[in-house]
Amino acid sequence: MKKFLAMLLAALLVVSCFACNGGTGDAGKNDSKVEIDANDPYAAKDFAYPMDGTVTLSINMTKTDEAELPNWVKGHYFWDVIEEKTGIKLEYIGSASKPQETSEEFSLLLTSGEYPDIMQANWITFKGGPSAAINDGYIIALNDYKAYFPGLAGWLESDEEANKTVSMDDGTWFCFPNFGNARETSGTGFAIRQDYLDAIGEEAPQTVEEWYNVLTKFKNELNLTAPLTFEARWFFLEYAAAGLSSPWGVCYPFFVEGDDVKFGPTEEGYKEFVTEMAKWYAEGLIDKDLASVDKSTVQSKFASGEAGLALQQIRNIQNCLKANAEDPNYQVIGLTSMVMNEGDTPEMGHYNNPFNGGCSTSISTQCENIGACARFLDYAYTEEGALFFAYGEEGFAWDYVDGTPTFRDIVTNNEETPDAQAARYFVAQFANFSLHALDTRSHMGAEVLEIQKSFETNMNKYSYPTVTYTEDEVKTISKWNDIDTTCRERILGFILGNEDLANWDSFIEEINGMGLQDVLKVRQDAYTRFKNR
Amino acid sequence: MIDARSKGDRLVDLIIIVVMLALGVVMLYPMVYELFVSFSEPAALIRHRGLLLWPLGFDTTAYELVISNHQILTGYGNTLFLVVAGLAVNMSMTCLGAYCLTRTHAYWHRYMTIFVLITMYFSGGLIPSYLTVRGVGLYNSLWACIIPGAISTYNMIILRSYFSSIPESLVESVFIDGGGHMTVLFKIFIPLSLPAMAVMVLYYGVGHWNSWFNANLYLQERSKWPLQLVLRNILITGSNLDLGSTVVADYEMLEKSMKAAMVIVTTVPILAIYPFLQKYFVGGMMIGSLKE
Amino acid sequence: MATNKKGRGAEIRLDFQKNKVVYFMFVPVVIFFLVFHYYPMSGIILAFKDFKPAHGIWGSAFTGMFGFEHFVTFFSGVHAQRTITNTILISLYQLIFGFPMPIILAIMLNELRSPKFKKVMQTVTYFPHFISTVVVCGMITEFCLSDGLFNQISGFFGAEPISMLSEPGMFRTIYVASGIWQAMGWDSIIYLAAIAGIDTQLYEAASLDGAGRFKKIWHITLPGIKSTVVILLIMQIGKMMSVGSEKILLLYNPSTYKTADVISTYVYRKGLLDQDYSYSTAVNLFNSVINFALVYFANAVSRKLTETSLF
Repeated sequence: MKKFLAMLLAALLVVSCFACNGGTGDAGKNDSKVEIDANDPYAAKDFAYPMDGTVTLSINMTKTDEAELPNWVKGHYFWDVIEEKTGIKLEYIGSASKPQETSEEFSLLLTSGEYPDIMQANWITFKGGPSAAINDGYIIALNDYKAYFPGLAGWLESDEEANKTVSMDDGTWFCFPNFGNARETSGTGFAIRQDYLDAIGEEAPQTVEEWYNVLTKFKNELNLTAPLTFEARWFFLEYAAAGLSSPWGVCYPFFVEGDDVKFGPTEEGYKEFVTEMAKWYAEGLIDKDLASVDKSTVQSKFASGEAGLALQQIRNIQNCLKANAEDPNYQVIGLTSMVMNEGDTPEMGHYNNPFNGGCSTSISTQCENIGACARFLDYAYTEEGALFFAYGEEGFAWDYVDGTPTFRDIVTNNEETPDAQAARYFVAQFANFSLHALDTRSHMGAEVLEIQKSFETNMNKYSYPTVTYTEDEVKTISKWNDIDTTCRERILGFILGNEDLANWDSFIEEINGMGLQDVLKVRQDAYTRFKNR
Repeated sequence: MIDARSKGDRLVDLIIIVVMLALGVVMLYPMVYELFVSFSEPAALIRHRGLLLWPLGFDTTAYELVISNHQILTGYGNTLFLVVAGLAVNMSMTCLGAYCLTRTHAYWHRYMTIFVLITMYFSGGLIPSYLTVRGVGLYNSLWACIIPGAISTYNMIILRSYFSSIPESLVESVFIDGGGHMTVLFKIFIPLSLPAMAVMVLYYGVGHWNSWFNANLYLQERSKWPLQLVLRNILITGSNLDLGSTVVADYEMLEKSMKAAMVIVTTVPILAIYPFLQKYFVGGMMIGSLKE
Repeated sequence: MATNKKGRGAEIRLDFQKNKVVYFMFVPVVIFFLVFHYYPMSGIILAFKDFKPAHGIWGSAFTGMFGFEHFVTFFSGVHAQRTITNTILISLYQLIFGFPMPIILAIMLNELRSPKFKKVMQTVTYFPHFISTVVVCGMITEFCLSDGLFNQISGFFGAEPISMLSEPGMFRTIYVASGIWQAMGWDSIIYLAAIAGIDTQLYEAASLDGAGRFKKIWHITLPGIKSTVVILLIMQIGKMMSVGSEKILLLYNPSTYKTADVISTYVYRKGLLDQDYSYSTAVNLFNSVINFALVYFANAVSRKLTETSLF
């Protein structure tokens, strides 16, 4: 037996010697400054799209087959037209699920050693961040090639805040960012049944007291089984339930106030917030199944009328409205975050950072024609390109009406593709390299837009930005996983009444013992560096 | 003999039938539920909570959208190829391996078994497997979904244990008649193990039918995708809305009924084939007498 | 095995002459396992390294603590002990309650007198296998709500409605029971095949001797499927540390972490944050070693007790 194992081991060793074929990309950053030739056509002042059509670039994504497109789109599909407009041919490499989003599959792409010219990835969550991605030789730093992308460079140089957000700490540009805007940053919020409010003779609630009062009446007078419903995990998703904790000036997990980074649960108001929620839950004002409901159950409860107030994404609120389109009684209005006293401004609410690193687009080290590649990506940041990414082809998908771009019926009222949002995605989409500067929501309907408007708060002041960490910091920050687990467990326990609030201090002690202060310090350092970029 | 059933025996029969019927309802309901959901009106589904005892309204949009997808047909074709070619490879390799592992007289027998068993527990993970498949040139070929899974160690062990219940005297009689190991395998082991062979066909076949993970990793061209990957992609593109596809229309409204329609579309063909296999392991075959 | 070296060599040569056809037949199988299993096993070394895709499997640097850093990180985590305990407990429940179910079902199916009914029942019981985990979990969640099916049933007997999936005490029951429901029919197929392989003459002879139904089950059916049962049992014991993450991720929530958080879900959550491929390789390696040791042990016991063994 021993001998056999020894043989096996030997065999393994021999076999494994052949195993080291995977990805031996040249590591190390090229420190010498790149000089762009004065005659380089891609850097020329009078450069104009489209390019000559001789360059093919590979990109890690999949494209819908011609045969799968609805007939009206054929010849006008976004990804076909973009090739015409830029004069670049694209070669799509990628699998069905977007490889850049699942770490394992993305690791496969990196390990294979064959990178596409254009790499869509989330380098922020990548181990070591964008600096590791550049040092390990996956992607290139863009600053030296500025002449190739005047659109992006021009924007970043003129908008200091944006520049700060999408650069690395040392000012390096690593991607063509997918940069959202305020309109898309709060797509989640509260919706309440106006007809229910009428039935109990109340106005839309604002203060904690009014909320409590309305929910109590929902329960007692209308016999609702779940007056307020949402998914419990939203307490712990970044800022998803900040609208509830806003009156106490706290939210989960990290937020900033001035120059300081704060951790919600250890701040003063958090215990009071939890106490209030526990009271609501105990009195049956919050869905009894808070902990186990999922997105579609919340949607069903709000659509069926079992819940009078729900915290949902705007899409789901829209679905509830659609499902009850024939019921004239079903009326919904949006509700802004709670406040403590009459007249306070709602400070916190759901918020997405305009740039979270997700799905931004970089140029890989294996790209042979950086000029053409940068020019292709930069198209999205030109005036003409921005219009195309937002609305599609002028004259096919939209026209100027009184100076504003307005979708044609082919988008808003198409029989083959009745959902206007889906129709827009065929002719125009914010790809992973784009600047969402233009409002394209006109097709969503006034009622929904009105609801979404009420989600807006001052959260951009408090939101912790997208930062990058050093390698040492990455090690410290990995403590966060356990702390987060403990927080979720204990806090939800307090709210559901499984644990006595008298134990709150021991909970704080426990998470401090797990290294919370170290994590907080790293967060603070990274934020300070961010501020000083 | 016919009327030999005692009262107690009949009672036991009754109990078994009642238990079975109850079990049947519990096992059948989810499928029926899916069927009802697939035919329900999307808006009514959103408003509905709890059990469904009948479709809510009647609406075939979900099926129209699933079936109108142009890739569904090629998907079926590719899956059929995977099942047929895959089964041929699986069955021959597994039978070969299982047979060799029953030769307990061979000196290396135990080591052969351990050699095989280790692979059931230790694996290098996704990345080295991926590199291997690329390395042997299977990338972007449907064979990448077949060859790396040619033998399921688990199945091979099951088949081996079935094989080893065949009396050794039968094997020896073949040798005496001048036959070799191949003769033993094809003339004795396989014919005498039809129930186990049917199980293998079912386990491997359904595995191929439901597979999408490897296809997703290794197949770049959409024209090569098997059915399950096509369906998955419809859902994924639908949920992201930014890859574009015919079926995203009103996607979120249709999500539930489309998922259900997909379950029905993929399961029905298997149910149609199943009775052909079933006869091998239900209803007493006279295998026993063959063995003598 | 106490033969001297020369004797052993001769034995091997003799064996090769006698069994060379068998060995040749095994060659394709060996090649398959070498290429697609043993060669990729080199990836196990990543458990001791910090994997960087650009450097490849062999180029990546070893971790600190003599390469054992990932293991130390795992075991020193505050929740490590809990996840290991939960994993083992869920596996144990699956073994105790889940393992016998398909056997009982197969025997019951075999006892049905009407062949038509038998066939229909057999088909129906494996339906749940074809419904994806996501859909199954959606149904379980719905049924477990405080106004869901289960509470309606228990309410019929006067019980207070509870939100079942928020109760740590009920999670394992729900998980294991739904698992049995999903797999029972599908897993029974193998036993049905084993029963079909039993010599029908044995039953006839027993009937002539006046043996009753239970006697026949006890003395003919069970011994007839014994080796299959034992083999499957040993393999099941070897899955002790592998409780998959997919279904638990869909069913658990922070209020049930206490009983529901297992190794795979813990690694999953960590992976979301840290994207550490080598860390999960390390944890998998730990699981594999335990699993293999268990199989080895179970096999030894079984060889002594039942004379049936895997190897």
